[in-house]
Amino acid sequence: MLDKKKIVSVLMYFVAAVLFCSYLIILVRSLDSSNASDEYRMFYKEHTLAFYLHDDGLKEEYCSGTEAVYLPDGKYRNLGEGWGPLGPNGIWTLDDNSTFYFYVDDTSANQVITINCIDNVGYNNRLYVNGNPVGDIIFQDGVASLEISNTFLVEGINVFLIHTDDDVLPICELRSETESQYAVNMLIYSIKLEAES
Amino acid sequence: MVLFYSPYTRTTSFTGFCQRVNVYDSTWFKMYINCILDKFLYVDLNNGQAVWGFFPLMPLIVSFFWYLTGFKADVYVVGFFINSLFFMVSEYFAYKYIMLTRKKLDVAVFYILFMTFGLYTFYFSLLYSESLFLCLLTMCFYYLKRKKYLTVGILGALLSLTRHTGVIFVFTILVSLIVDYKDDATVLRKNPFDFVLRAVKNPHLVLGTCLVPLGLFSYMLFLLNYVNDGLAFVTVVCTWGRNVDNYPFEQFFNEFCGEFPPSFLSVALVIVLFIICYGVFDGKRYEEMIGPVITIILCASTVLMSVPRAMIGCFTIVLTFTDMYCKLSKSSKVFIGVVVLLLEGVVFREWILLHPDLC
Repeated sequence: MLDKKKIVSVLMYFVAAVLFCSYLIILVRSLDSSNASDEYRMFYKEHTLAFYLHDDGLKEEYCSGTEAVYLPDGKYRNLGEGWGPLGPNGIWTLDDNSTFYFYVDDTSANQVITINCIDNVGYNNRLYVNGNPVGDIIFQDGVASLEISNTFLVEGINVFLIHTDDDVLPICELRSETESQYAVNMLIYSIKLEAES
Repeated sequence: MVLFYSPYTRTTSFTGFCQRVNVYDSTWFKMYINCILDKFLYVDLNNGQAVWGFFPLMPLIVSFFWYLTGFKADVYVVGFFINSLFFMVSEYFAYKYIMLTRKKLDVAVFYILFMTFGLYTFYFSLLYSESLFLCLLTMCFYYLKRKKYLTVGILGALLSLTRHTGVIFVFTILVSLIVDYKDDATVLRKNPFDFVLRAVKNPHLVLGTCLVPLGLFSYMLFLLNYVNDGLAFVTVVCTWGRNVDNYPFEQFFNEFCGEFPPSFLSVALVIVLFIICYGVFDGKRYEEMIGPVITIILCASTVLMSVPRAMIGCFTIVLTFTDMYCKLSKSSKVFIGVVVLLLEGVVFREWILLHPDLC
């Protein structure tokens, strides 16, 4: 009887020890979320992705060769910070920095980015890719195209930044027909990234 | 309540009433139940809100009973009856606990009345996890007092699978042990080392305590496998417009000093803090107060608005309030009872009208 009680006690201590060690392992693994998908990390942890996107969403839907159309029923989930709400004609960039993302799986060739703009307040904007300056965004008939050297690109998710050094003012101070306080820059309809032909 | 609020809900059917009162998180729990049956965890594409922000035990239980009805009954009706049953079980164990610790029938009766007709008690019949959490918590307190540590462990594991705050009960066990050790007249030379040795020598206590976090960590393991983030239930909170790294005392200070006259939330917080102080300094029921204190700090780190509701659902705050209430004169008791009843009517009315500020 005494031996049985002792065995049960030892078993209880053993189970408690196993549980405790398991908790430690689970906690350590949970504190490291590097195994989570890029989209999960960017949206939930870093807040650098404006809209929720499923795992591998950037790779599947915003890869080089695709066009992101910024309408409510279009493809708009590759946006980061510095964008206004989606509108019927496109989306405004806000303030002096606006980021978006494209996935590039083949960095052997240069890429061409084409930005379709519906409206433009008139600031001087420059495009950066992964922190590297690409060139000034200059529109002709609402379209701006820039060539991106493959040396600026990485395999995987690439960060594009539209930046202006100008002071971006609330639109109501520049246009009397609106009372909007948003500090808007460009109304973009679509952005396309494709390999240079 | 159904009859009293029919004019507001504009429905006389019980199913219609259940559908009308089950709003906000109830819709998420309903989605969770559908997800369990579809074996797919839902994410709202518009804002990234996900069902995994909620813990699975209550949805699992309700989905099982909904399945037994052949999905013929409305899920809110099934949830109403299941959660009401949990609530009744919690009342029963609360009665047993009160008779064990206070030995006062009036405290038990008034506690049951406050929990049945008092503030925020409508939550215990909605498709929320409040009812199951309260049921398991009262059972944990009862069996802890009876020193049935393995039972406490199993119930605690279910508690931490109902809500992540269930893991706080580990601290309740610790404080209860300290209090018992301090009051133990057979121990002549009391010191921390002796306390730890005595605790560790009890295998039931050791295993029971280690079992309490099992629910929480099981869910974390599931999330690790599903989204590769064991803390996903914390991560996803930001999509509801809440920060998880607010400073609690800064939140408290802002709430108290933010406006004059003070808001309903400020007044509720003051009352809760007063009750905690009474429980600690007058009642000396430290093991009953540690849970609410930690819960307040955790709630204040995300959203302060949930503190009153969380306090009603943590058992010992209403119990301590009842202790204070039973010491009052008859006229004071009547006055406070009427005020509480009216306030519940107001809060429930605001809930029905989708004004959640008080809730």
